[in-house]
Amino acid sequence: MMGEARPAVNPVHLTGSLSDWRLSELSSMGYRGLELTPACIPTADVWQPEVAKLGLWPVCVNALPELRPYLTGSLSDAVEWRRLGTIQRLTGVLKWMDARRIPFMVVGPSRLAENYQSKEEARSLLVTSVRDLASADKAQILLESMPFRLFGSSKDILGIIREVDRPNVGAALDVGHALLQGESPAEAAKVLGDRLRYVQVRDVDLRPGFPTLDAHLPLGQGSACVEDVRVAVGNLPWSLAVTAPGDPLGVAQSALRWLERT
Amino acid sequence: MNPEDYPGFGKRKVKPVTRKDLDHKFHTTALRYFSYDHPPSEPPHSYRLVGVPESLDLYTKAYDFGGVVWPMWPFLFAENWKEAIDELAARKLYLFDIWAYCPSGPFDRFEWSEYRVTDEMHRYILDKLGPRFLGYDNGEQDGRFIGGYAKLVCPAPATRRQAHEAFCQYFRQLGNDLHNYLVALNSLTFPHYFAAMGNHRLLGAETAQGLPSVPMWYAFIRGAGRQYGLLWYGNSSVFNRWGWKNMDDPDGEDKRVGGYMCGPTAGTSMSLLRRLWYVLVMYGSIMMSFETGHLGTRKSERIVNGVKLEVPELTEIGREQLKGTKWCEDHPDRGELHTPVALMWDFHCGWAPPRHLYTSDTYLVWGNMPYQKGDHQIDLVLRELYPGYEDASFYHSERGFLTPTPCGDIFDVILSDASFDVVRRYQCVLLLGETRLEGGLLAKLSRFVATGGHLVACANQLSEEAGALFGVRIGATEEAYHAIIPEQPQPINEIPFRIHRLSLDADVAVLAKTRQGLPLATRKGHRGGGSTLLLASEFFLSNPLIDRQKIHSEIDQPLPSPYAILEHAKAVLLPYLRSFGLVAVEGSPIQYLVNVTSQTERLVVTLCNNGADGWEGTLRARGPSIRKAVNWMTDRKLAAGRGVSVEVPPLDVVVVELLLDGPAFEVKG
Repeated sequence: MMGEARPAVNPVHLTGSLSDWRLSELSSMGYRGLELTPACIPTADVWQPEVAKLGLWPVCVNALPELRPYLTGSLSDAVEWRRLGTIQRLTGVLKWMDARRIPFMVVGPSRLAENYQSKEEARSLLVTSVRDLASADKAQILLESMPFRLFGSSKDILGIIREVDRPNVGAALDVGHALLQGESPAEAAKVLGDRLRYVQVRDVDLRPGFPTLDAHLPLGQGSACVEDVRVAVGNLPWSLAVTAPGDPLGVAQSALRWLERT
Repeated sequence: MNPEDYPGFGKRKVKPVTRKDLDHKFHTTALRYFSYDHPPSEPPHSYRLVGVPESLDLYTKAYDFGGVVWPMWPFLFAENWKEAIDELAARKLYLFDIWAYCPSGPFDRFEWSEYRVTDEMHRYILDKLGPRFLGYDNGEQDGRFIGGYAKLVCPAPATRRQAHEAFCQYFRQLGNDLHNYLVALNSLTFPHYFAAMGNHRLLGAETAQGLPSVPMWYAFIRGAGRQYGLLWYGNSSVFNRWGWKNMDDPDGEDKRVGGYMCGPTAGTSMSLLRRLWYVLVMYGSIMMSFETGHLGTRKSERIVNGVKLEVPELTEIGREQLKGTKWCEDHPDRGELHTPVALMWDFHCGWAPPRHLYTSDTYLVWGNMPYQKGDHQIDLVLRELYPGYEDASFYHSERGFLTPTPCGDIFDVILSDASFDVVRRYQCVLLLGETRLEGGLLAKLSRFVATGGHLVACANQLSEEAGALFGVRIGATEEAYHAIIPEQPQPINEIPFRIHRLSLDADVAVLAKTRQGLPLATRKGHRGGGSTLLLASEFFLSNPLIDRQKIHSEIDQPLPSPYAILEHAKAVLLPYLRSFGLVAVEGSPIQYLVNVTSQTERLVVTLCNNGADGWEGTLRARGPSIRKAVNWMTDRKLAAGRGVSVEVPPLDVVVVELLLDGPAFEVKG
């Protein structure tokens, strides 16, 4: 069943829009699954009929846009009301997902709260938050390493997943995040092992002298190596996690070609 | 500039501070803390303010540091917080910029913490203080966002609109916590975005410290103030990247405290503090202060309320502030800074200096998007207008905090959403950055030119319909590597650059061209006295000349740019910009600014010597002769005539009042 949703695409990131997703063209190219963001939920009545008509399967809600410390929220926020608010919001998303049998939600660690929070305090809050999220729902909570934040390596993520110790908590791997952390995606996938359930594919610019940014570049426009990405993806469900509001369809098409390269 | 004069002022929910609110006076402030019966951070976090009247007496009576207090936020949560407000109200003091809100800082630390002002508090403060409550501190948060949050936005923005939205998201949180009743203490170049939010009452900055170059920075702050109808203030920090100034024992040694140096020669130098005071005052700041350290620990006797009291002695910092305050009282008619040229770029640009305190990355806009070529253009133009500005806070020598101004300190930065009424205040608009001249902006600037304004742009910024305004049709691009300026016999060799071929209308003059006759700079006169000046080259920059991989930002080292401004563009543009100034300054490069008053034959010129050598030079008004000149630092007359000779000691400032034998400028209706 999961294989039917492969490959998936995040149309919000790809198009920069919450409505104009070009789904029929993406479907024609061969995309079968959708990765959504929580911002899509209020407009579900608008896009759901088309998604159903095209036989696309929403496979994942990427909650990372909801996890911008202070701007939206964080799972280890030192300000308790905000952390609880974040959990409450994501719990609502999980219920919505369960109703639609969407299997994965991607979450990530935070940075340290600005003052007075130790790494251990942040870790403890993160573990508590992920347990809370995992407690009531059927969807799997997938923890993903994030650049410029705490617990950036795959080993760190695996350690937290083990500490959380819930069957519905696993790992997601964002190829770009792994590269920004200095890991090859294949190595990161190996470290995460059977906890890895889902891969997000995109490129990132690591040229020396250039700023390191979490830019979701089209495949082939950055530093990712195609063989390495293929190893990381293996047989797992994956999604195209690229931002290309100027040329979404061209980029989506060339991504498939890039991954087919030998 | 009067906020009440701006359209919509009456309807604004959060009104900008007006000059009337300030009793039409210049203000100063120094008191930063109140005292408590025990530390607020100690459980059970119930505490009382103590000695408020005594603190106010010390800062307003024992020493006249002005009628504004600038306290840290925990006093709002003291059991008797209302007493402090009542005391301020009874003394008719102003409450300014309640500070130390810090996103994600736990409240119960009562330090740099996140807190929410309750409705009751806000209402009570407003009821008691009315216009004398100036607002809560949005303090250094633009830098904090860029340094701590922008890169966490995942995915990183693909468009500048998305980047702007993330920025706003941060400040919506902050605004909501603080009743959207804010004072901006900027730490980067984002005052326009604060002003545009409609919830800020004053703009200002903490200067010196690890923060940007002041002439460049206040071009932003003034521009934002003038664009959106907000007054601005000035403040200078005693900190720098390596420590802070403590003048408690002026003969003592600097000490290392927690990794920073502290002492009489640590932190910001007294000479920089002094120069900043006068420059910021002459920029039109409605309030001034040095950050802290006005009083020491030694005590002496003073009469307060008719009673002899032992009070802390003034430090050099306190003395300098009181001296600066007295100077302002003695010279009240300082006028308004003359800024005839607007540097304008797209609203969503999000430009920040190429390097700054909040990130080790270089050349980013919005903290999470790489500079494009147009952003480099902004940087390189600013390097011409304020040489060394990009070095501010990166040099132990304090290089860059204040800079020479080869064209004069005559620029404001405004954004493309500025109304026509704002744009028309300027004589010239220099369009910079990744700004497309089309649609509403084209209509606005066409009207500006038709009513006598002068506009400068680059061919690559023009839409097809914008060509007509410049009398050109834009053709294909090609490469060039030299330029000829008609008055100069020899071609100028250039780093290779890209130009647009231009077809010219008959009434367009060529100011620079290639040997093959391709126009590189053109000028078209318009009915009504306006003109349009066009550079054919892409952002008037060279092609890339340094590999980004070779560019690093390091302390006490310059920061190379990957591009260079073309020499012919400098030759055309810089004298042109300089011509808008009212005063010519002859001598080695120096920072100079000109203030105008309601008397058109009166100018006030500030000369700020930021070098370690004394400066000697001559001031000449463009047009009329000088019939009287007075050095306001000594209140002595200077020999007047066609020009006035002035000397400025090293690292010092001189302000000269010039009375002319004719008008120096016209007042627009």
